[in-house]
Amino acid sequence: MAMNFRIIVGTVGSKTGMWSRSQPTPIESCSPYEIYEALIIPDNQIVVAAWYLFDGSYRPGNGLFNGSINFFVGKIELYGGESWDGIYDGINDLPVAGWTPVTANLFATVVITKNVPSARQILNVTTDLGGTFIWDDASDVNPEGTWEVVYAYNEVPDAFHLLTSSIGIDIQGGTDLNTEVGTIENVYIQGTYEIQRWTTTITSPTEIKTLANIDVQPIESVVIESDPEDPDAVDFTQLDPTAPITLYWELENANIMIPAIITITTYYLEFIIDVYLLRLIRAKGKVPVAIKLNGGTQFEGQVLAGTLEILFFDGTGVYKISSGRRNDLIYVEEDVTEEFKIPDPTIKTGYIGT
Amino acid sequence: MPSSYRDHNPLVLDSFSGLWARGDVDTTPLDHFAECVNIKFVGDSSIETRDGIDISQVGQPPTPNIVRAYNYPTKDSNTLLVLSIKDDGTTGEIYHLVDEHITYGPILTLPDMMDFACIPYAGRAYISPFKSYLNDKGLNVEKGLEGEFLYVYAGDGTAARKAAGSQLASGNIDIAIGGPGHTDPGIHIFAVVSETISGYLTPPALNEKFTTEAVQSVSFGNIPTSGNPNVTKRHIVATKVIDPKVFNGDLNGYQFFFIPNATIPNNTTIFLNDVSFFDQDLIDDATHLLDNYEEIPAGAALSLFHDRLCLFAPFDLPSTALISEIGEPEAINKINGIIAMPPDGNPLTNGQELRDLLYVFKRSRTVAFIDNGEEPSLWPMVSIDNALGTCVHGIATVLDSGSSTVDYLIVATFQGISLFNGRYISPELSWKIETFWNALDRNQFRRIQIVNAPIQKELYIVLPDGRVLCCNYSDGMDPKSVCWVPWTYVVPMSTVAILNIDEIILGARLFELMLSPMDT
Repeated sequence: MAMNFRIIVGTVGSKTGMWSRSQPTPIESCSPYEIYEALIIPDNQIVVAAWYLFDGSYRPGNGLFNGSINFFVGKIELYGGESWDGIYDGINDLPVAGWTPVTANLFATVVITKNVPSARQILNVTTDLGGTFIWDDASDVNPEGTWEVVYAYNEVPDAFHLLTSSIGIDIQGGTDLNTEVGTIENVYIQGTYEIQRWTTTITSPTEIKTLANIDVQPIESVVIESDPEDPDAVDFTQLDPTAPITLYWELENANIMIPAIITITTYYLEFIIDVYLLRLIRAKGKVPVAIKLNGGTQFEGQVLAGTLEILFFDGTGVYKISSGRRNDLIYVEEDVTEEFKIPDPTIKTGYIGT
Repeated sequence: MPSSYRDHNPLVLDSFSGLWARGDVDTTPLDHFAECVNIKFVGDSSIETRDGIDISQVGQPPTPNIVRAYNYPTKDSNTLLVLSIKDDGTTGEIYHLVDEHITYGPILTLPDMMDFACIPYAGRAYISPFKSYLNDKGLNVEKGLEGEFLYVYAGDGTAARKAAGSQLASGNIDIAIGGPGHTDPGIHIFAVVSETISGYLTPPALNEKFTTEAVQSVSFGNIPTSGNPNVTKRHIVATKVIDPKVFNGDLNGYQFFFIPNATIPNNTTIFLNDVSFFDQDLIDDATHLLDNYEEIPAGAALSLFHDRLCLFAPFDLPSTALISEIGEPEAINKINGIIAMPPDGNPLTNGQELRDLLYVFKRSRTVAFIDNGEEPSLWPMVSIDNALGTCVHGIATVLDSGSSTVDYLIVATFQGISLFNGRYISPELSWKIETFWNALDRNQFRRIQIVNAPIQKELYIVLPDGRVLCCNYSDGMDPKSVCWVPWTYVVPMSTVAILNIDEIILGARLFELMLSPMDT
């Protein structure tokens, strides 16, 4: 399934950076503090200051700004796409991580307030996580005005880090930048990524079983149990099957990416968690994920339902049908195999009536 | 217990005939299932859970991300060739699985090799890398990998090499009168032909004119060796006597023949002395070698017909097939070794011999070529079906060859699984599951692969979505008698092969790779 997305840049977090002068030699540099002064950053806006303080005076450009401005993602909007069934409401922040867009562009409104030739030298915008965006219109000689610009990406940014670590953006100037030239507003990244889906099923609050279905073969899951001795452990009586429940993923190892959009639907004895994978990540081994339930219970707050170990495995390989075998033996890791139940043998007759 | 409730008669369900997916679900016959998955049929009235799968590689790292598998009978065993996609999602590697404990390879690594065609021949395997290309209508079409070639694998773990080869590029042979012997006196043109380990003969090269004498043999010296390490022999070829009155000086303009016994059985010796022959001994023609491909472009399908190798849908000529000389699979004439269907934007997808005809398929068209004893380019084409065709792996493999069984083919068409005996038999074999079949993504039909296991009396069809569709024909191979059921696995299956008569091999890959940029 192809989905379109838009990441809205939210609150500015921190900024550090350094101007360095590349010409004439010797290289001159200024401290991060000076850069801090050079950047005026109101909410959701970046002011590009094209000057730097050196040796007690402002110096003209001939330098590059090599710093970063960190944003926290305000929200990610999903729109368009096919077969999207409204799991994500488009309003709340999306618990999305670990996907890699198929295509992505960074959009921004650039307001150039100083009509100086050097203002055109806003050349590159790069994320500190690898995405590099190039402003194709940067060569405009007389740039004063408001520009809707699109930065085509030439490296795929990693949205997992954009989300969890904030977006880091480097504004890279060119030569002769000697004054504040304007602002960049309404920064967002928009593109397309691929989604795959698998479903987990909680059969009871204290026993979570996950079942891989045909859509998600590369991922198998394991049974976990909530600790009954834990005073905060959730039990069936506390859960309101008619109320929505929020489920959180918390990774113990943030280096392993769990790409998912999740939602939970409750029935009387069964809780269906739909997990939409945003392009499968080829992680291997068991990945512990803390499962927390929030809301939908008779109490306020959040309880730990247990820890789900999702077994990411590369089950690919060469197999043979074995007559009389009652399970599927699957390669899990290089030297490890595991027996898997044959997925739900089922028959259903047609209408029987007279 | 009453025999019946009021106005209701008891029903006995004692026959299970598999999936029925045709029309409204309420029309499902009582002996069929509206839904079924992961079962197998036992006799006429029983079902049970399908058989599990076991690993096929033991004591060695499993070959991951399998895209394609072919049965590969070597000189002494039944083995497998499998295509694995590397983690980068863009490079294909072919491995040779000798048995469950021994794997050779990769024997061939190529960027962009998304799939490959393979045909075994004389213990060797001919391998043609191909991939799907998006045409301007957004359809996947399969053609030989651009800029790539047909490869040949010897089956011994050494890397596959390009099929065919180049003629000797430089050098001059010294020709002199040899010891007492015999030739037809007069002007001859001599040349050298190299022979590779797989029997391929390069075009004649290093042509030299020489006048022989009646009672003398001919000796050759300074015969260059080939830089191709696969060359194992060199042959001296010659023209018949040329009348000096008509000789025009063109050393390439005359017909060459192999001189009997004028063979150097290695690639090291640089002389061959005292060769005697008469013109009437010059029977085996070598001239056609001049027009052979020295590098055979890759195609999307391979087949054998009348002991000729047939390669379908090369990148630049997707509506054509390249046909080799009889018994010389690497000798394909660039002029008369080509057959073609009318170009319509759809490449050839497959080809198969049946009843002495070569049937050639596009995705929705079928024709036949008749071997009339002439060169392939002169074979007449007969239109068979202008609506039905098949995909690149859409003809069922029977044991160790993709071919017919009992005088018919089993073919995956857009209509369904059809029996083909010179025409598509109607209704199609998959008539009972028409709705199911029509729901498959036609643009992904390249992923369909079929195996016919006559011992089990079952067809195994890998579907585009990673499921395996099983067709049990214990009660007869006709649309009414066969029983269908889809099978699912925790990993998506991408390929199927049959080994050692009745061993069914399945290959699994990550879905992720199905979305890779290479895999459009």
